[in-house]
Amino acid sequence: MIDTRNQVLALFSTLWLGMGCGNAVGRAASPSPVTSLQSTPVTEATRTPLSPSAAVEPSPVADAPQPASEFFVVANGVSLFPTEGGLLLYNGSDMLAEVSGDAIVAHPEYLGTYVPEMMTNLEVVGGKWPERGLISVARPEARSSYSTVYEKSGKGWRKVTRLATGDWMTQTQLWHGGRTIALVRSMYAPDYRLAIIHGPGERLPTPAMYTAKGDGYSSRLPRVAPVAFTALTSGELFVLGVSTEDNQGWAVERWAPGSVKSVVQALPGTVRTSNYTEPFGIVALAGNDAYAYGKVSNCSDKDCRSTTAYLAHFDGNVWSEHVPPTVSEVTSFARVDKTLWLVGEGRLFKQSVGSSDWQNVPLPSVESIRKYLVQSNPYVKPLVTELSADRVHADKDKLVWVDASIPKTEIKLVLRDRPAAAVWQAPNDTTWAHSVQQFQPYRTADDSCQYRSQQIYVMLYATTKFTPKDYDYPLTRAALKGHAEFKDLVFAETEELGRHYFGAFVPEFNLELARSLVKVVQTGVKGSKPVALCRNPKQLRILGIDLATGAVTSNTPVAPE
Amino acid sequence: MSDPRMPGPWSPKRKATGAGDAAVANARCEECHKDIATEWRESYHAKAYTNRAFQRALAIEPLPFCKGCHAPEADPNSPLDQRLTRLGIGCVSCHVVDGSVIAAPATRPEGGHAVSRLSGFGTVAACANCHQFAFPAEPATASALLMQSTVLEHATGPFANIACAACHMPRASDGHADHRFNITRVADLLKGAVRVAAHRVDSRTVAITLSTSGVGHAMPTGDLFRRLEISIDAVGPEQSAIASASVYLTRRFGIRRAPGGFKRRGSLGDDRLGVGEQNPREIRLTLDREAGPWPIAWRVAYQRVEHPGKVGQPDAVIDSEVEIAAGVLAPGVGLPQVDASTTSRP
Repeated sequence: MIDTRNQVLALFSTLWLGMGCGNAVGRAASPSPVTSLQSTPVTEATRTPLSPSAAVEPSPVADAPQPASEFFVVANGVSLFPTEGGLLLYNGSDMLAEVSGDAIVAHPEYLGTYVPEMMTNLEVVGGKWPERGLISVARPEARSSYSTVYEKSGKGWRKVTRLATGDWMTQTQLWHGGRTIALVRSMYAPDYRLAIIHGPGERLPTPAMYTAKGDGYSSRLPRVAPVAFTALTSGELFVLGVSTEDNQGWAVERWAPGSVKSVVQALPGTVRTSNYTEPFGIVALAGNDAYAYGKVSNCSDKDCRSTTAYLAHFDGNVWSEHVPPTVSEVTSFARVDKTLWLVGEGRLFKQSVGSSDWQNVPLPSVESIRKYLVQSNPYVKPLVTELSADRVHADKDKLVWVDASIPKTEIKLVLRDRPAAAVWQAPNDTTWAHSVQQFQPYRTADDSCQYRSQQIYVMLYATTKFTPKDYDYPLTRAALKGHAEFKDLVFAETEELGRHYFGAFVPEFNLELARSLVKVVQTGVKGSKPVALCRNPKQLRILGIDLATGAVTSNTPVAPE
Repeated sequence: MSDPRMPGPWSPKRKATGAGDAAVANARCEECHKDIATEWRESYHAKAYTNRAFQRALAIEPLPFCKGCHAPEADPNSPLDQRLTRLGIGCVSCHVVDGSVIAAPATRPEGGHAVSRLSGFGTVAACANCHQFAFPAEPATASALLMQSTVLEHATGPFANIACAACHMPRASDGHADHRFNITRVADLLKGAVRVAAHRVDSRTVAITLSTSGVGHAMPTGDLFRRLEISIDAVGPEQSAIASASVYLTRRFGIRRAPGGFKRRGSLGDDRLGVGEQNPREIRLTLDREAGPWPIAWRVAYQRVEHPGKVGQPDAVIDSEVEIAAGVLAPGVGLPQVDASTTSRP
């Protein structure tokens, strides 16, 4: 019996695990290469020290010399999520870990099991961790979507707000008076609004609007279509975006502390003939010290393959261009004391304030960090020799962190300008557990069916897409011939999660009768693997069988609900 | 790429300068142009608002944005006038602009009213107003993420110089353009648009080769609900599936973080036929070891799912489907076998 059950479960695994998008059978059963790195299940908080150690010094190999790097791998399989209270690490699917002092802490309550939507839809991480964490998950709803916001306090998560369909919480920032402020956008309109997600309420800053007049109609539009925003605990707010009033130059909308009205300022050098300019982000260090960055282009709408990096600085009064390194874009920016850091085209640069030179900062070579990756990882191709920088971030202790990846692989690494005692590996078991939970939803029938409000359903066959819609199962009918004990069973074609099955509903939780049917069909139909389950599948077609003769008495589709 | 002089979605301007009472005006068109009206009544233009699939989607997302194209005569921001929504995309929706009746350069004698003959009418740019557009919150820039990209696909395809109407409004024997727009959702035409061949590479692997035939855009094109399903099943006793595998050719969207800024919707992939490099394209699907001794049934189907959120997943609810091709490959003996037919079901 055990063998049979295992075989049946294997069949189910085969059928269900093989249904992942684009996957051949069984492939979904394997954890992803990234998460198959050394790890342990997270069942309780684990703490990995990050104190300095010579163990992680990069060691360039002799045949592929690389410039020494001032950055060191500290975590593998995760990306950085800077928040107001510190730094979080996210594995891209279902797990957050927290940089706490000089350690990385993986709390089990940060896992997707507590907030299932986190698995794929985590959009915003905010709040003042670890005391009060905020996450926002975006729920894609076809053409639109909306954000649900969860707040963590102590060890629990609770849903604090669900925004209206079409409303996205795009980013949160710690603001003055302990408030967390969010910028909320609509999927359907260029409007946006600012909302306090946590902390005492007060009069909210309002975006500047104007009336755009067209041919026969008019509409109210925000003067700046937002792309990024930042706030300071001293009360200033900055929104970077594209001006809706002129030919798509960039603009920054700025609120002084306590003001509900804003000042909109155009950024020099961004009004171009092309639509291909793209602001990426804004970093404010003080009310009179902020940077905006992105890429601009001078090319025409018809042909635009080249862009140039853009960086501008705000001194409290005006924005002025700051010459960036010679790359096509600035995708991330940070400043530590008098050193500017930025990322462009996957490379990391730094510049001392007062200097006009940008220095390309080498990252560790792949060879030098290969020991941190699983040895047989098929995604590390021998030809790939460079890490690509994705983002740079400065923490409150003035350490510089870099999100890095290996191009054309799934590998994500977090680097820091101070080494760690050991490279922290993202646990992989969480993903695996979810896979099992998601793809093996069946429970073999037992006495618990009735407590689960489920029927006993003997699944005889999973049908193919080629099986005729009115197929009447002649071999099964022949096997049932003479078995009057099955007279109260309902034989039906059913559907679950897009697959069709043929089976029988067994009345009154009669487990013995179900097991008897399994045996009769198993014996009578060679190669079949029926199984009794607790299940309430949707009925598509009822097949009436004369158990005395084995003939079909009816073959009737069930009317849709 | 679109032509603002041509008809399009509802706009305040349409309300101000359109056909007056569109339902009355449309009925007037139908009175005289009976043959065209009969064809139009059969079309999905006429059913644009009332068809079940749209109504289902609208129930999930009741957006003015959607109503604008599906019922261009009704103000989507006001309580809807059912006379106007039931009209769908009516005669007046395409043929009346700024109070004038417009049409393509003459192919039929003038009727009882003035007609402005416009060379731009019936061009790709005219269709683009409703058949190519960005997601609602995308900035109005050239790099905006397109929700429908049929015109762009056409512009980069092998039939870029042929207008949409040449295929979608074929000429009838008397020279008039067929107003049934009889391409999409017509089973025989869909079947003819994709050539399929399949062979069993080994006991567990089937190679299915697909190529489009005479299609001027990606296949499938249009809205987010459509996909091609390529599936195989090892067929055991009683037509049961011993093992299964499937792949879905479609567009996939997700949420991505822009560098340094907000997260926004982005394209995660597009593997539809006619997009990118390969035509024909070979897709290999491999089954579990148990499949070896059994015949393998293969199938290619054009599907419309109930909700685009699951368009790339096997458990999507299928709203409708057309089987493009199917067949069965016997086990073992004489590999590889080739089944290039569009096998009908037994």
